Amino acid sequence: MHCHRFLPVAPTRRDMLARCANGFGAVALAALLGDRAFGDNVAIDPKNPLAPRKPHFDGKAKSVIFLFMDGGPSQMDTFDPKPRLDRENGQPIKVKVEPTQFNNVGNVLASPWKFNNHGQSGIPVSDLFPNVATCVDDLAVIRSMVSNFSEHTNANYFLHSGLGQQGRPSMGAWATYGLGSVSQDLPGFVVLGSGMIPPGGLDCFSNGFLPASFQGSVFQRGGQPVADLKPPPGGEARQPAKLGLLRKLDKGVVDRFGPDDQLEAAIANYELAFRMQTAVPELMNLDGETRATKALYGIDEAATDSYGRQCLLARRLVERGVRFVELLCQNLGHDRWDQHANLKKGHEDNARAVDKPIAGLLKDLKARGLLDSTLVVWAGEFGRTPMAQGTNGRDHNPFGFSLWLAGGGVKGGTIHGATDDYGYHVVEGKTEIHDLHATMLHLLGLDHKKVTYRFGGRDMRLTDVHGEVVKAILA
Amino acid sequence: MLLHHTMTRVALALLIGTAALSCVAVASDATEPTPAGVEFFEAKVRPVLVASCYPCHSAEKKVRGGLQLDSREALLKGGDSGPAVVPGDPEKSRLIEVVRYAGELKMPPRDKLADAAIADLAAWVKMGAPYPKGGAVVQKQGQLDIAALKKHWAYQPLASPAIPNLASPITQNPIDAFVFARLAKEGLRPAPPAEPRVWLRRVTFDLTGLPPTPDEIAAFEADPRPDAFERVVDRLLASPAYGERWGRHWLDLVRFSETSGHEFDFEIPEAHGYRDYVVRALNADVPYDQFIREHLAGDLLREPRRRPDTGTNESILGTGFWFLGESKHSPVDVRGDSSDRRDNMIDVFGKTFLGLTIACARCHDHKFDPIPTADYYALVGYLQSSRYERVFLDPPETFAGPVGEIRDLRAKAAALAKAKATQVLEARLGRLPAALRDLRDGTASPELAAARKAADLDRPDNPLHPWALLGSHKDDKAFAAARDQHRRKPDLARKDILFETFAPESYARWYRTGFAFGDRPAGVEDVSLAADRPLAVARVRGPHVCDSGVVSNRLQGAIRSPLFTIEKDFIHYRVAGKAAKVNLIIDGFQQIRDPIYGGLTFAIDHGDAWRWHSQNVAMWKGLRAYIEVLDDGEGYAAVDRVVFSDAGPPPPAVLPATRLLLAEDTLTSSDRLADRLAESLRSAVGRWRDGKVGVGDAALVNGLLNNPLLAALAKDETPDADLAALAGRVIDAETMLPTPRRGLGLCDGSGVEEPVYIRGNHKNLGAPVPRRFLVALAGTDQPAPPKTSGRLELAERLLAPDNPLPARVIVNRLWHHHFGRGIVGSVDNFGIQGQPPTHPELLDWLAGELVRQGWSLKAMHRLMVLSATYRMSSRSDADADAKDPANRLWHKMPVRRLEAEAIRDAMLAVSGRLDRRMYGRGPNPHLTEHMQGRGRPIGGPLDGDGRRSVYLNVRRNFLSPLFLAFDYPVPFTTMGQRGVSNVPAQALSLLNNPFVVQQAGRWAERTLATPGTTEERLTRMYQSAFGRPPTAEEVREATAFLASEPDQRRAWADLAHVLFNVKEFIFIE
Repeated sequence: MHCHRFLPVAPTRRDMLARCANGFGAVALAALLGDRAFGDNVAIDPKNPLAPRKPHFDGKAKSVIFLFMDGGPSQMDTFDPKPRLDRENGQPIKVKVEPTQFNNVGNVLASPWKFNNHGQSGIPVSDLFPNVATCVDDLAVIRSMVSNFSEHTNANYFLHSGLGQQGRPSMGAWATYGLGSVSQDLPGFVVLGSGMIPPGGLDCFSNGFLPASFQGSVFQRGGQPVADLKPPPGGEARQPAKLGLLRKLDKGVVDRFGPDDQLEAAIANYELAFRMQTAVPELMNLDGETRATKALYGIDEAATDSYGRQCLLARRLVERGVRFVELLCQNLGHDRWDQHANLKKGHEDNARAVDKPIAGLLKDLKARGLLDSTLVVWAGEFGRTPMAQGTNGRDHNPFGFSLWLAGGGVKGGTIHGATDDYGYHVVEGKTEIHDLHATMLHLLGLDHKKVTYRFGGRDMRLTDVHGEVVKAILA
Repeated sequence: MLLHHTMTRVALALLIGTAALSCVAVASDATEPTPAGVEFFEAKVRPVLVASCYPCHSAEKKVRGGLQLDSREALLKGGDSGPAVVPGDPEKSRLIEVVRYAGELKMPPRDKLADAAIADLAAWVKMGAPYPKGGAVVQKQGQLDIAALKKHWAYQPLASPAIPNLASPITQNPIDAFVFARLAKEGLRPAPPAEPRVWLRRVTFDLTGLPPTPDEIAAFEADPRPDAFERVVDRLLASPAYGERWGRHWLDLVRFSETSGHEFDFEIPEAHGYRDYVVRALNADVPYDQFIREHLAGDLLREPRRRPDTGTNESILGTGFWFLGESKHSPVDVRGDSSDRRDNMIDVFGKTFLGLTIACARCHDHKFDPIPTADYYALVGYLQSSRYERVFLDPPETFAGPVGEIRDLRAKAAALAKAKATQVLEARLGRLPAALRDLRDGTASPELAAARKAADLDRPDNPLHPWALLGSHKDDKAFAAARDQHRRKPDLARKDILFETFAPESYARWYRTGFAFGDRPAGVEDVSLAADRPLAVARVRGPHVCDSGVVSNRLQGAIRSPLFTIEKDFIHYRVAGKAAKVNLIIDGFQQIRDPIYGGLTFAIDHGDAWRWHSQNVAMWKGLRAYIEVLDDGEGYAAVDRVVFSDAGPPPPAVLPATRLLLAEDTLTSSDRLADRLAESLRSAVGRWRDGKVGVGDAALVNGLLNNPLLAALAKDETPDADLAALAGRVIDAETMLPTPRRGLGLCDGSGVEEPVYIRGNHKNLGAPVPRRFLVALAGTDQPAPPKTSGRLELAERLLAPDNPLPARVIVNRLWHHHFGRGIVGSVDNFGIQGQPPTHPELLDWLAGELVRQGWSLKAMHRLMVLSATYRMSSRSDADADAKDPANRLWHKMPVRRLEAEAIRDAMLAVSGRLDRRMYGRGPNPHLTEHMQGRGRPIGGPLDGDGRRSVYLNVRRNFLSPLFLAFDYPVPFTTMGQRGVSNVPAQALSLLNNPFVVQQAGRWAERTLATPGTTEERLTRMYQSAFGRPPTAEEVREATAFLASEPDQRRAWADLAHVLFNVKEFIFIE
């Protein structure tokens, strides 16, 4: 469709084969050489790795919006009420204390927030999330999450890639590898930066050993959302002439080198770059959105403007067929959701910034009929301790925490699993990060055991050798 | 349903499995279960097993952890963690422990069983675990059939294939014979030779990572000699750029980074020294077997390789590669973290040197290759027996001379000083009794009273402390009462373990590196000089002190204890010194920082007085640890006691001499005390003079040397001029000591065996495995030396002539980089899951040739790039392309895209910005607004100071986006084959990245600065960038483009920018 719009190289005899696959034209040389394709269960068209692929079965979700609550929100202050904390507030905790990150264990700390039951389902939500609370009938809350790590970086890598170390593909990369992406003007896996890069850095969104086509593209806030999207100042006027010359000279290269897939794909690659130069500013420009829509997301209100814009962008990305969108937290002048001290102020600031935008996103998606095909996931990398760190904070707790999913084939109004009376350890329906991943892929119509990639002598998957779909939350 | 299904199967097994069952039944007890027992089992137990256990522990479904629960035999046999039940004893039964969620392992993993079900299971075990006969056949434990798996091609000895007889005029060397014979066999013809200048561009990039210069092209094209090609190759291999290019390939294998990633991306000190070592080693063509030996045991070589220019130890730097991985600063589970780091080390080791995925065997026997889990932990044992170190590089002679000279001078000075000091002290002590009485009676001079105050006699380690306790009692009765009270004062009942007292024998068991800690503890003959004072001696350093300041504070060094297991809550150290540090290294954990670990490191910086420092290590009981004392600067560390204790406060500091004195029967009055105190101190001084001093005496002497009260008793004392002169010479000699050169590397520690972690779980330990190399490659009879790491022996076993892998793997890597794909496509995996070689005979011939050439990598490069195969064109005929579409047989040379670094370096080269300076810590990465996060460094210049890419500082969490766009590998494991992807970020960065635009501008300026016509300038640009002159059409297009812009500087800069974007710039034919 987009072929020849930008670089009308005279057709070679293999032209159609080599360059006409939706214009993305990406080629993994390794795949051509037969190594990487060996043992993979996903048939990637080397000419167009982002071409949409059929799922294994009919998944409701077509896209994912992952709302990453960097730092680890507290379960007993959000979605998992624990009256025992009120009863024993200020007393030493009566169960064995696990080692913690700061090793500064205080007494039981009651939640500073009240819980109320909401919606038809009556799911309890704390006062931190008055707006999200109005959407509870669309949420499936998992209260029995566990992680394997108490440290941010490992837990972040683990949540994103299924392994607590650097180097594995992020779940967005896996989803895009498995399904390709409908959008042919934008990357398939977009990360909307809001000012904070989580511990572990950009590797949380890495393609790992998967071809670079599946790596997360971080769109930052500010003048230039994508690196090197625009020529340096003053360079734009000359660009058409330069590209004209480039086209002619590149044609000469093809004539000189002879037909070669890589070479021709690299030429065609300029096409997507060119389209992105138009598509990204168009995406980022919210002028066409109505005032009512903006208000729904809390745009133009001081506390919610920033995250509201990101949420609205997430919807726009999904509308344009981008497969996986991740939203990062913004900088509120303190340490994201990581309240080792001053839990009350910190969590309140964090919640205020995202509550209305997230509710807005859910409602807007629903109103546009997109919620059914969009899986929204709200999660931190772990939860927090029921006892205080010091006097007024909470330390990291990977032994039990909450997250929720909505839309895209999720059974709304569900609570799955339970922690003990303190909200400390899972006692029922233990759900691993691998299970979350298996479930997310399942909702996308993918069998997590079949989305594999041969690397380092074995067939790697997002769920490693683990993972079971959490059937209880499926619609 | 499930129950019914299982029952059916049990019945079936009963019918058909009699023979098999009778085999396993031998092992179990033969008692028949009672009918009541069977009834209980069927009613209460089997339903639970079927619903909650069989899905993962039955022959029918899965056998996780090697455990089956579907027959009594299986229960008794158990799984990886041992038997599941002890009939009759629920408390000792693993099954009951895990369902109670009592220990580390909790089953079923997701939901705890109901209390009633747990009680039923316990009751059932109590009644002897009756289980109806029959049930499933116990599966054979997955015993690796090593002999069978070893038949895989990669484990076979190197063959000596005959070179095919090929009478072709284009054949250059045996490589071509193999490749062309195969082509002929398939009915294919090799592509014709490429134009010489195409070959020149290809080989120049391949060997140096840089484009040929126009002058080099001209010289080559004008060279009529028959060996012009050979001359080019020799020139390129001799160029320092060769080591930079191939060094970078090597760095991909060892996941090179100069920071440790994780949350704050801390620096790995001296990491760039490893990179420089690699570049130098490749340029020096160090034989590859030696290169491997240095990586594994460079610190242990009897005769390490030394740098010709500096004489420093090169070999030891190879060991730095172990520490280039990711690591974190505050693991909540230190052992889990350590095992993850070691997993990465083993992974990199196996893939890099052997092309084997050994780390797959961490949790279970390798699924495909003959590598049992025990092999993995056998290798871990080598790491557990080795330690991180900022290694010392200077040759011994650099320090031996000056140190010997200082020692001699010090010995002379010490003898003089001791004579002087004992004389002075004895005189002063002679005046002590009278002075004490005056103090007691209030008749002392104000000066003396002030001196007593300053002397702080209340300190229990003060030699005059007895006087503080009792001296005020003039009345004998009161004296006796006070004396008895102090006598009676019981020592706290402490069950301390005196871990170390630094007697010569125990000191010798510690591991010393550097030059500061001597080969014996400090002795009484070692003194601190105070030549300008009458006393001449500031203090006696020994005996039995671990002391890095004996020779000079300028020396650096480290000393490390043998490995021990933490069994008490506290470690108390008695220390003195300046600018030194003590670390407790738990399970190899080095990133000691807050939170959690801050207490494991402490500075010694208070001076000469002995002080206790206490560490609370209760959290880490049961883990193995060692103590390291580091003197890394101008200062010294002294330790004379290490005590393990359950008590938080350090041991009491009362001097033994005080206790002995108080115990004397004749001590009946303060007058008597004054005399006895002075007398006992004089005899201590006397013993010092006679060289018979004991540990306690040294404390007394030092207490006297620095005692203000005694100083107030000085009379007619003068400094010794000879001594002052001698001391001056010591200081002069010390200033000649150089600052030691340090690097990243390993040193040896206690030789220990690592237990198997069952299912990879560090909390579930199995039997220890002796250190050894892979059984499949070296057999089982390979004892490791018990007291050292044994890495040297490991290296020799790995390099044994009958191990074909090191040679095969490295020649394949060279081939991969020269020919675009390895003969074995999976360059890092030669195992059963890897790809078979396309040309096995060629591979073995090359591997054999490498060994015959003395493991010279340069000889192999020469062979490869001078072959006719390498000289082929990348254009072939349609017929060959159709028959061999993926070019697996090399009917032509593939078109290849340059790596990220080569693209950047080529831009610098043509723009004239390239700065060829080698080595050292490189510039920081240039930071863009997109590079955010914790540990963000100070950004470096946009053009990286023009340095070659291999020298740019590599920060794990801040890798260059420009590099990443072109498939620069994330440094997490061995990456022998980079991806070659094609993403829009590549086009965007070449079009818009400020660095690219900047270099285009420079290139244009450089071009315009050279006189010439437009065509001459264009020719020079084309020669620089593409290794050829432009065609007439290209000249025409470029000229027209230049004419379209009135601002000529601008026009040329734009043209240069376009040329960077022409695909020929980043692709080679």
